Amino acid sequence: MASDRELEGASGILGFATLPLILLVAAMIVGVAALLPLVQSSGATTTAGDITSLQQERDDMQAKLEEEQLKVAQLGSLSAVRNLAINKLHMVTPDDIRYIHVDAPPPSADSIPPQLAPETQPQAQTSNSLLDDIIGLIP
Amino acid sequence: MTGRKKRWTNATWRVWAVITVLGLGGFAIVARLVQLQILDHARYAEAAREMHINQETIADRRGALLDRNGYPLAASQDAYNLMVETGAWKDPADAMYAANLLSQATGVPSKTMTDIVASVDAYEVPVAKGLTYAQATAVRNLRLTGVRLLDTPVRVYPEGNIASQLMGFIGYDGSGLTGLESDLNTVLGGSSGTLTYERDAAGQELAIGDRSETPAEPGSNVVLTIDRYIQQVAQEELQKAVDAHQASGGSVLVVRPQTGEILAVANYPSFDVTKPDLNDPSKADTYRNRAVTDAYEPGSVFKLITTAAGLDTGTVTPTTPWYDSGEISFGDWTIRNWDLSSHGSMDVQGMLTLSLNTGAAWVAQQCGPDTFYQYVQKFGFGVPTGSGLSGESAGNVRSPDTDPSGWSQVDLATNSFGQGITATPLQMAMALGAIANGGNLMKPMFVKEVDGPSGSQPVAPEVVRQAISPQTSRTLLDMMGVVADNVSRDYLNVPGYTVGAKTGTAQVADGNGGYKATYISSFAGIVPLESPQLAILVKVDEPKDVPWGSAVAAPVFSGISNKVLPYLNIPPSPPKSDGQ
Repeated sequence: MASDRELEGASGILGFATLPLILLVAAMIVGVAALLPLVQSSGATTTAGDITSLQQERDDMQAKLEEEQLKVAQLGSLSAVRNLAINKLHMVTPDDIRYIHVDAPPPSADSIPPQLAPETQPQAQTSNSLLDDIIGLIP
Repeated sequence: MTGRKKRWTNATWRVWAVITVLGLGGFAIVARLVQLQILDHARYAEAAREMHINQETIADRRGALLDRNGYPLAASQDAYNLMVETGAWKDPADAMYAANLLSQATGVPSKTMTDIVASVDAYEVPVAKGLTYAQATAVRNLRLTGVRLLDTPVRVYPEGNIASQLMGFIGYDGSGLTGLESDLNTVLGGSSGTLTYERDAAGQELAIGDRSETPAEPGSNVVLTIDRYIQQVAQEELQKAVDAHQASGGSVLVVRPQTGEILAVANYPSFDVTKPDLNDPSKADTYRNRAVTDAYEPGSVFKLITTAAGLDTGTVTPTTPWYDSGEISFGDWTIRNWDLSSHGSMDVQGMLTLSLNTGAAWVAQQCGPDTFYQYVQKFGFGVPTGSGLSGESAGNVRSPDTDPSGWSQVDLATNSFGQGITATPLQMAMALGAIANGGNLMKPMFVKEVDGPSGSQPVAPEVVRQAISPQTSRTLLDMMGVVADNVSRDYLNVPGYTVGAKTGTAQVADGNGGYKATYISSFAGIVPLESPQLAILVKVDEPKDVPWGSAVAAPVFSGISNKVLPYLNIPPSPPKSDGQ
């Protein structure tokens, strides 16, 4: 009897009661397993889309940068500078250039007035060693 | 029993027949599969690959040509051609629909595009050219079938039409056709790569398809020795002289004697590098850099070489006396001075100052042909300078060694004053630079630096040889200073600076052993004389009013020097001790 109950119990666990569960779990596993490639594919698609978008953004910025660089080059061209000098700043070519020869040596580097000279960093105080202090005490 | 057996037999026969038919059918199918899958696998795999795999050749940006200070003279800008497959626009309604969308993106009228496609019997045709990056992006976003963008970058010239023959231009395929664009094509162009990807039915790249890319290598930027300002000044001054004297053309070279750097090379007539007309064959003559490719008889400027030979060998000094009878005869040939006069007792300085042909011939005779032609060779004549520019001419030097049967003593005489011998303006300018550079002949430099993906490669100046000693160089410079002092200030006027000069007025060879009644006016100048910073050669071809180099070419030198010396911060010469 006990043996029959055990068998019944066993069949209750492994038999009719558990078979749908097993099938359900198996179906879920299969379903999840089937979803995995889809998720991966979706992730890859999203990433690829992001990459393409970023590449496009990079190309856009690169193209704009190069266009700006060319504009800068054109604005700095001799013709643009000349046009600006003549038409906006009303500059004219001098009729005569005169050089004044100054019979004196060129100014030396230290001729800058002290108040205009660049500030120099104060040097860090260096403390003598104890030995130096003792030697310094010797008359 | 017999009837059943008979039925069975009939049934068996039918079964076997069916089995046989099915078997044969199955075998045929298997055989066909073997053919498709195994025997012809490669062919069909390739066909399938072509249907959904796209392979493009990709090129990176072409390098820019920059002036010596980094200003771009020629640079590339992204541009695109809009290509349409004619088959995709067969249906007028479809074509008009697509054309309307493309018109909104590009600004090109839709009817223009449909007309182009309808009029061409080709697989594919460009319906719009030179689209900007923004326009191309708008087109790309439309994702239209049978429409693609062809990357065709254009060359832009921020400084406009400058140094056109030196720079040259590129063709429709982006390769250099002339000038440095051609000579440095591999440096500027870089190397192309490939992009392979899976595509959809519209030809667009699949987001999760296979993709492989061999990246293209960008071209290197080339920094030239040319200075944009000096170049423009040289071009303007040359054109001014050509227009004023109704000349047929000319060339100007501005050289840094210490390094051999070419700061400017101008030729006239020229072409507009910003829009070269390749369909006009008559313009082809203006494409070549004539300062490098065309040899001419330099005339009296060559007396500098003759004098250098005499001084360097110790044959003569500036004060060595000689007698000018006005002519020297060689057999049937008589050499006369340009003014057909005789000057009696003269010295070598006087020969150079008055540019006397008889004196130059006398100095060459004193040197002897071997020594004279040795110095001609030392100054780089008769061989290309090694500039690296294509089409460079070597000039023509006939000597007893190169033409023992044809050469005679009269050749020595005529060569001594620059006739019967040819040189390019570049050769003449480099020889002038050697005189200014303590006698060191430098190799001409047009490229200062190459900046590529692997870093910067500066080009070092190169000494070709010591043509004359530094002492001879100094003596000759002083003699040139005397020559310059004797040129009218109406023509040669560089206030504040001392100048060394030699003028030249050469007859133009007619190609049949004689000379035409036209001249080449030239001027070789060095400034400042006490510490030479610039060597300038000016050559004006066939002026109509006056032929003299002093009147025609010297003002070009003055015009360039007066603008360029302050620009380069070259200090004026100290005043002369006599108060001049």
